[in-house]
Amino acid sequence: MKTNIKSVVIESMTIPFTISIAGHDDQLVKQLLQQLIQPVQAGLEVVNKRYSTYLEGSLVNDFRNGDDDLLKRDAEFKQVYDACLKAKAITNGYFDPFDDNDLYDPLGYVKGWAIKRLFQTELLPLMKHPEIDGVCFNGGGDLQFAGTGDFKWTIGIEDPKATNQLVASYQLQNGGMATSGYSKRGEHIRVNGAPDLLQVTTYSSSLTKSDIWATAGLAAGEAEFRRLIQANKLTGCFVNQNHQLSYFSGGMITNVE
Amino acid sequence: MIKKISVLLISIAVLLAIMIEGYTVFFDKKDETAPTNGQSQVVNQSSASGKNNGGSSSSSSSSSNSTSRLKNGTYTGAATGTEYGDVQVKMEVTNNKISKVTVLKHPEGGKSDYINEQALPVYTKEALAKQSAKINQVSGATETYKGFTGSLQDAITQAEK
Repeated sequence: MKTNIKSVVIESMTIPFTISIAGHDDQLVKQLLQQLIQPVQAGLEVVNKRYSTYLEGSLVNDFRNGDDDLLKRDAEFKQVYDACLKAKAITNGYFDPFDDNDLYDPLGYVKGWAIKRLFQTELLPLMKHPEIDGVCFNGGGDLQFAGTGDFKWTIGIEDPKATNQLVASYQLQNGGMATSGYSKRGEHIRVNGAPDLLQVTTYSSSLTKSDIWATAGLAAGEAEFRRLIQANKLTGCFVNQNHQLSYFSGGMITNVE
Repeated sequence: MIKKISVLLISIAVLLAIMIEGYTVFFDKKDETAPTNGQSQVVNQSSASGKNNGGSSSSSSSSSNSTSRLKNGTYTGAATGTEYGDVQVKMEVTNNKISKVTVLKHPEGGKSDYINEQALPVYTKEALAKQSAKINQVSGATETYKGFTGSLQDAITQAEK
C-alpha cells in the first residue's frame, strides 16, 4: 500500500502551524486530520493567552509587571521559567529569555515547547494505528516528527537569501528540528558574538532543545558557535554571511566548498 | 533494528513482570503515566467472566500466582525511564497470550541525546534537485502567515490537501 501525506494549516499567533499525517489509508488519514484541528487550535490558544507578551493580562505580562508570586501559584509557569533559565545556562547565555529591559520574555522558548507538547499529546498517540506511518507538527519552520517502518520525513532547509529555494535537505524519521534566522518572529536575538551567521538549523530528539541551540547559534556568531557545536555534540547546519553552508553531526563540522 | 530489539526486550520484560507480580502491576502504576495523555491510558479491559477459554483461570484472585495465564484485555504500562528517554508500552492479550505490543512513548530527551539515525544532509545541486520532489516539510526562518502564502511549505501543503 502506498503511503500518502495529508496536511492541514492552522493559523495562531500569526504563525502558520502545519499538521501532517502520513498513512496508507487515505480515509483514516483525512478523518484523523480533521479531528486534530479543534484540539490543536485550542491548545495553541491556551498557550498564547498564558505566555504572550502582546496580550494584556497574560501570565507573562503579569509577571513582567511584578507578580513574582506566579512562580508559586502556577506549576506550569514555573516549569517554563525554569526551562528558560536552564536553556540560558547551557548555551553560555546565548539563548536569553530576557529582553533588552531585562524583562522576562519566553516567546523564543514557548513556541517550540507548545509544538512539542501538542505533538506528544495530540499527534503521537495516532501512531498506534497500524495504518499510520508518520506524524509531524510544523510551526513556522520548527518541527517535531515521528515515523515508523521505512517511512522518513524529507525536510528541506530554506535558503536564507531566497526563501523559495533550499540549501540542504534531510531524510529523518524521528526528532525535532528548528531553524533560526533574522526574520524569525518572537525571538529577541541579541547578537553577543559576531553577526556573521545568516541562519542556523539544529536537529535533536527534542524540538525544545533544537530550538534553543538554533537561537543561541545565531546569537553567538560563527567562531563561538563552532566551539559550542563541538562541546555539546550538536547536529544540524548553518549558513554564514558569505552564503556558505556548513553541516555538523554529533559535534563534527564539515564545511561545504 | 534497534527499535525492534527494544520492543522485543520490553515485551519480554512485560511478560516477566506479569508472571511474577500479576497483571495488577499495570494498574497500580497507572497514575504515574503522563496525565495530559488521556488516550494512552488503559483503553480496554475485557470483563472477567465469560471470555476466558480456560475455566480454571477465570475466577482466580489477582493475588494468586499459581497460574501463569494472562487475562485477556489491553494493558498500558507506566512510562519507564531509559537512558535515552521515557518508554511506555501498550500490550494486548488475546487467548491468554500477548498478541501485540506497541510502544506508545518514543525515546525523547534524556542525558545522551539518542537519535535513531545519522543526520547528514544532501546539499549538492544534483542531489537537491533529485530530492526536491520528495520534500514534505520545510524548516526555515520565514514564519509569518503573510510570508507563508506562496511559500514552499504552502505549496507542499496545497499538494497534500
